[in-house]
Amino acid sequence: MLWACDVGLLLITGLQIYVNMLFNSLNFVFLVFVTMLLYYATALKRYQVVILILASFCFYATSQPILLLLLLVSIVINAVTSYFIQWGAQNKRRLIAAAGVIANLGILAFFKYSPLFASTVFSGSNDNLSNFLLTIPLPVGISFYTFQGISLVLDTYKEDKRESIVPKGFMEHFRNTIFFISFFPQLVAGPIVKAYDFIPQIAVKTLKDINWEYCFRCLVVGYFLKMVVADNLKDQTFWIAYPYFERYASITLIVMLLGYSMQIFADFAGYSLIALGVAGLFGYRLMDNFNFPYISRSFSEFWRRWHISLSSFLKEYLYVPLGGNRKGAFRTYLNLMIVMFLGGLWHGAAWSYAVWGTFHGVALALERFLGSKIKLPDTGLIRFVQMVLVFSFVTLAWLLFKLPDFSYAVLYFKALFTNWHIAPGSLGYAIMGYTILYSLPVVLYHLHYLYAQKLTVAFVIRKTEVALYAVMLFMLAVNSGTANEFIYFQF
Amino acid sequence: MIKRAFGLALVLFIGYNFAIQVLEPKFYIPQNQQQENLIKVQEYLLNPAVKPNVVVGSSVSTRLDMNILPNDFFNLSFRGKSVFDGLELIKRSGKKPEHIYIETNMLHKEIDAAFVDSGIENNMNVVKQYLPALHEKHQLINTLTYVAFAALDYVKPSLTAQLVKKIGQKVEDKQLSPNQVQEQVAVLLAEAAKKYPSTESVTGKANIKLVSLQTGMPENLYVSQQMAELKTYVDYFTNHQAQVIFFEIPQEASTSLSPERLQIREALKKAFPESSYTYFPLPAGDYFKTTDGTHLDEKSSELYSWLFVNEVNNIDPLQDRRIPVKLTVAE
Repeated sequence: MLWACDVGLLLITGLQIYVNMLFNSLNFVFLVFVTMLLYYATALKRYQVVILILASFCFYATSQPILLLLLLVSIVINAVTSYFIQWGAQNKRRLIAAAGVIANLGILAFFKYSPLFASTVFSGSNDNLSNFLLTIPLPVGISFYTFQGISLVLDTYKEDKRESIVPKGFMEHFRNTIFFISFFPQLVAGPIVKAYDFIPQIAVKTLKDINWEYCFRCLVVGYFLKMVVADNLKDQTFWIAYPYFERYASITLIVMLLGYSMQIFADFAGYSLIALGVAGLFGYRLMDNFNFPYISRSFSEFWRRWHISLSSFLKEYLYVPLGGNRKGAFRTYLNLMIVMFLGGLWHGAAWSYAVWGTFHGVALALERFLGSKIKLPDTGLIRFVQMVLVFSFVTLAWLLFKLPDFSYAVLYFKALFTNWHIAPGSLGYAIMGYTILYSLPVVLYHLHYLYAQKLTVAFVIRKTEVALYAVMLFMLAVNSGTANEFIYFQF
Repeated sequence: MIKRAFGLALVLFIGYNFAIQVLEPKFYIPQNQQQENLIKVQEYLLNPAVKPNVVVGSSVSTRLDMNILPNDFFNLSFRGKSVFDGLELIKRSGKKPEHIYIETNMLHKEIDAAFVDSGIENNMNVVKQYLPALHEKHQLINTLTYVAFAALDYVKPSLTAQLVKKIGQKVEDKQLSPNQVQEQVAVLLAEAAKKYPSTESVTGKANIKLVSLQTGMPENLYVSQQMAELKTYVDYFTNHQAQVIFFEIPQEASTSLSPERLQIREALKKAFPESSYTYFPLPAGDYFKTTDGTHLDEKSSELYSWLFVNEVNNIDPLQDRRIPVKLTVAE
């Protein structure tokens, strides 16, 4: 055990020199490689979880070492509360669970929303309190690990799931909790893992447990989406920033916005696939986070396919407790809007994210209302139109992610209609050309899913699969964009 | 499946390296600003040959026409970056140029340390020296674009040359004697005097807004800090036997004569007195036209590039043979 700690410390001190450990950096590959060597070493089999915990701390400490303490505080709160919910006085379970959730939300609110609170309430003032609140740092991944902590507390509180996740021995539970919350593949940007999905998987793993082909597919497609698609698109969609966009023709602005829609998918879906692949290398299976969302024909379908771990979390731990659709039509619409408003705010501490969430909430409510009144025929054309409408709305709403300052988003929206008098020019054409080119893989990825059931398509895919993966590997080597942080890291 | 995919990818990679060696692309068309900057960094760092003359600057200096500048010049100016990025790169590369030409238009901009680090501290730099397929300029899409333009060249040769020149790459050598340079300057100045009314396009207005957003009126303290930082670099290079020359590229009056620009110009002359440092004269803005208030258009870039070469000739031993050209210095 001590030896494993020493190795871990060595890893931490050795790797702290790196400022950022992106999934697409050599440092990360090195971390995974060294951790795997130690993890599967026969002599260290007993310390597998400890090795992963140390690697996770090392991964987290490279970006903001001091904020590792906050992660530890969060872990302690969740380990203690969940333990006492399970093994403490039974008449206080509800109280302890409430305290655990409040403590988690309190930490999230303080670190994530203080600047928003200060800028809204003390707008323009320059007193000590507002200055202090404005300078509170946003710890990487806080939204993700806080939600996982809440999941642990609430899953323990639920009668039907608690048996499997909180063992009698506190130290074992504490170790499991540290591992569950800090497991590095999903620590900073999800998928948000639920306690009852993950903790029962904790066991000694061997190399035989690895599904190599699954990991290979996840990693190659994930890295391809991130490094070849998203990182190249980001240099084209860069010009969406204010005031650059004012000089571009409407058609260029439309193409750039479509490109951003593809970029955010490729970036986040790519990240999630890498997380799945890396977790798979250590014998753990995380939930799928994306399921070809841009083929959705309705907003509810979109949210069943986009950031699945978040939407299922919000559904399970917020929408259902609020009453879901069990309390009449009006309450259902209201619940949808509350959930999406809070879901929007979860993404970022800016009112534009809340507006973005509310847009989606209104769309979901409206869709539900219209769905109960109008029955559309299920023809190919109707399906296509529905798909286009949902995609267009979702894409337009992404503008608030790219331009969190609401006034800039409005200006961009106006420019979409008013800049027709500007000619695209050579730069505009180049931007459009490259944006379309790098968006193509995302389009093909979705088309492949849509038509994979057709015999000829399935046959062609099966026959060319090796070549497809080889081309993706080749493109990773010779056509990756410049490395950039994942968009969802900021949340 | 995994082994076969890796095997095939390796074959593709080796084949691609071989194809690049055979093809020897004469030019590249960068896909975006970031890539263009990175390509320059890699070309400067990975090429063992040292160019004795290096220009450092912002996007304003990227408009210098490399077809006109002598062959021993390297333009280490970056779009969206500052002069400090170029200076730091030269310093950390360990290369020792003889002359460093520092653009003074955008001295308020700070260094992008992450950009410099990504160029210098790239673990792959050693590998890249041996594998051209890993060079940014040889990205697959760039090579395919090159092939497409090379094919187009058979149909309409001038189109490709025009485009490549517009990107700022060398397609021809216009090496002239100092006397010829003087004549060229005189002809172009005469032409320019006739046909450049000052206009501001939509793009220009947006850009002027951008520049004012980025700069505003800098604090005096900030300006002195920038000058102190510049002084550190200048002292370093002069101690290493390099000559530093300052130059400013003409821009539209709204930019060139803005209070913040005047403030920086004054601070610069104070920190680097004209009695001790070499400055190229700033030509009158009337001769030049910009596309956006800040960046010279193609014709004006050509004119300024000739003027620049003329001044370069002026600081070498051939200066006696110059034909004086009357230039008005902007107030």
